[in-house]
Amino acid sequence: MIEDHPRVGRLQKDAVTESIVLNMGPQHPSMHGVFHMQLELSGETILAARPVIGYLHRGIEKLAEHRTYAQCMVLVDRLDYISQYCNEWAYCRAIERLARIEVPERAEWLRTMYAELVRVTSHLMWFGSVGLDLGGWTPVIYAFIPRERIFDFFEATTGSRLMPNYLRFGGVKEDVDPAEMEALHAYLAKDLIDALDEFDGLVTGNEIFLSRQRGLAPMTVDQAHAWGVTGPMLRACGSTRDLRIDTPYGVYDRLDWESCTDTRGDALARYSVRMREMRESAKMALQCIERMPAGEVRTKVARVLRPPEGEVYVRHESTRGELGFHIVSDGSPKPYRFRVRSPAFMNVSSLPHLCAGAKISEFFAIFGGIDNVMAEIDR
Amino acid sequence: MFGQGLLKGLSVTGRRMLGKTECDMYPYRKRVLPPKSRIFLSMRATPDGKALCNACLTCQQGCPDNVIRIEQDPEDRKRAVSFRVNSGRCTFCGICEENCPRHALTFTQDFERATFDKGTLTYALIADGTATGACVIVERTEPEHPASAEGGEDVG
Amino acid sequence: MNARIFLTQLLGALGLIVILGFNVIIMDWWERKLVGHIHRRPGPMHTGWHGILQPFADMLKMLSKEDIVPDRADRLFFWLGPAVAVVPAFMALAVLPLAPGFALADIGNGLFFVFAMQTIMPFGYTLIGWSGHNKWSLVGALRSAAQLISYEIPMLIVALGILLAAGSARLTDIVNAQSTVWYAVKQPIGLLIFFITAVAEMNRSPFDMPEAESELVAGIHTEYAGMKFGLVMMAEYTAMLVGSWMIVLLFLGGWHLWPLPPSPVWLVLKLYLVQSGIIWLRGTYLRLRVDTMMEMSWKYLIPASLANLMLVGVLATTFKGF
Repeated sequence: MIEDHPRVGRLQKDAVTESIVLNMGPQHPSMHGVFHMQLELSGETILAARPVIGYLHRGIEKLAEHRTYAQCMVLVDRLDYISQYCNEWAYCRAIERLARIEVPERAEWLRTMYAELVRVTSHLMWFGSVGLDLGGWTPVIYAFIPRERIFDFFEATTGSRLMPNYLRFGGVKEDVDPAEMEALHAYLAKDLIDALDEFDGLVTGNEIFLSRQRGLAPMTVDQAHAWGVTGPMLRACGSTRDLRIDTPYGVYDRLDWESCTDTRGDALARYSVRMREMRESAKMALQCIERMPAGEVRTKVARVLRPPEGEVYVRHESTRGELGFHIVSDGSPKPYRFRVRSPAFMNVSSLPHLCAGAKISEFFAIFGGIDNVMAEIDR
Repeated sequence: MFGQGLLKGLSVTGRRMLGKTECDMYPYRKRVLPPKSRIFLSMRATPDGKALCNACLTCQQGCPDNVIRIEQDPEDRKRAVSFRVNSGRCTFCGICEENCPRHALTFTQDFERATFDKGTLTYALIADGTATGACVIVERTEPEHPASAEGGEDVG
Repeated sequence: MNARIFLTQLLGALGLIVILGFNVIIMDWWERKLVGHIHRRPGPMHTGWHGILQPFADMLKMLSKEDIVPDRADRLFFWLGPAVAVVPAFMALAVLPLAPGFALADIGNGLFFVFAMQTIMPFGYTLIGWSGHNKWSLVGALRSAAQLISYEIPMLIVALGILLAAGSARLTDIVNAQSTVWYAVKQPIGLLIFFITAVAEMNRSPFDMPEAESELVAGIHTEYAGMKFGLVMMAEYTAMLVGSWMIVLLFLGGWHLWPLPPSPVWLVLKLYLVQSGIIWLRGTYLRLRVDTMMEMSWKYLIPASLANLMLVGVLATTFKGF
């Protein structure tokens, strides 16, 4: 398959050269986390690529079997530490479905707001790392300024910037101070949009950037489905699959928004889908703040939860794609089996196909568009 | 036109170059963390060294990482002789504070406790039955809020 | 040769090296500050007034670091590489004038001497990359060789246009020909091409292929530590100085700032403005892809520079005093 590639096949036929194996990562300035890629190179052209994962394996799935359900929330935070609230929410939904816990109205709105805010911060992080991968230092530092501002809100309301442990079975930990909400509303409505416009000016319209992304590593919908790719990467190939619409949860069906898709399927499409998603998510968070009803934020749940025997699988649209939690309960306070379907793991599995025949510098342009988090892949 | 995006980028960075910087200038100007921020575990105690803790062990049993070690008084099981926190293991999840029925546990916003010696990361909130200097001094010994009614069974 | 002239020249050469060291220190600090402010952060602040002593701290650090030579490195070339890169950059400076006739050697072929010296630098970079016995630096070395060779051609062709207009290869004459109107006004296409190629020649972002830190770890100098790394850095800053000096001399009127009287102050001012502009580019742009960059030189810049040369030739023969 790789030999069929026009740029590779010709090289192999005509020239007698030795290919070198380059170990890219796990210690490399632009590897996101401890990802290791073995590249077989002919000159600067990649003949074959083999992802090597597992450097950040902490045994979270096994650890979870020795913790109570509430304690697992701490581990869930550490799965995908860039989109913590999405993880927590998916896990909460799994347990709530298993134990048949009702969630108050206001808590659903709060969860949706936090999930969309974290989607913004996650994509900001991705935007910055794309800039770094392509050799510019400025985007990452610009992207961190709005990200830090949203983290300030997280810290003031949940007590932690990165590892909030905020969602609870049957609601959220505590209500949010209205003054903080007001300040965030003002920020999202004006300053965040200004910052995003600035990013567009800095990177999106830049001819160098476009020349590096346009038409790079195209992927069709069929290929994406075959490789298990989900999330923004899938929507960039023309699929409209978005679990927030397909299997509505939270208050997404009551918000006024649209799912961002693109039909080109190349690296630029992946970029533009994520850039537009940030604006959509900010819009959704704004609507949540405006329309949020008053009321309880938490139903009373036993401190040590014992869900009935059974199993549950919950699909959730995380920032990187379809996040799944499969939890088997044997009626004890600890899960019998705790399994995570990680979107980034599936997305990274498309990488060898996407970067065969590319150049080393193209590899990073492709890799940046995958937006993986090693903590979630290795677990 | 080709080059428009390049010029636009230059105008963005040029504007920022002349604008204000966004640094916190940390060691010179310290950030004041919001009161909800979870940094190091502390306990409420009265000025005469009486801690609010009644040694119910909820925090010790609920802690995911075995951070807390409580020693009960063998004569009075509602009194803790020692309460040690191994903050080197702590993940700052806040489960202990949330579950404390007397609202004795609290978090400080003091974040400058970096050390070269792992041993110093373990500190006592109660030693020999009296509250140590790591506690937060409050006026009343009664809990600030009534104990939450949501308490369930403890892990066996 | 008269002993007095010899002594003066020797002192001048030593003074040049001191000036170079000073320039590296200034640029090291200024680049950090400028890129810092582009990033909305203040840059170094702790050492001295606004971190002015930071380069000295770096220098101390580099001097005190262990001088590591990788086990399987080519020892001779590993030593030779930084020297081959840094010495031609120093030598090019010998003919660059600061004021009319005020250069270490104001030779008649100054223009070509500078280009000849710049042609040697890629050898140094290639040796640096090759000798470290590291795959990253090998890729960086090959990139460096390809890049510097292909960008020299349009640069030289544009310089020929200047030669045609000025009628002399002596740098002083070229500058004096711009006492009222700069060549930047007369040959704007030439300036654009020369600026792009000069930035590429000095391996600065967005053309920093050989060291592409996000792709090739640190590119050619991955294996270098201590003062040998310092030498590579010095070569890069000196190349930047030479490149900017050439831009100022050939296009921006050197010491002339009509209608003000000519003065070396203008030259130094322009020099650092051009260098600041190059740092600004670094703070703004992403890196080009390596093959796009080659295409840019061979497909666009070389034809454009030839067209520029033709245009200049036509204008220079048609209008007297162009």
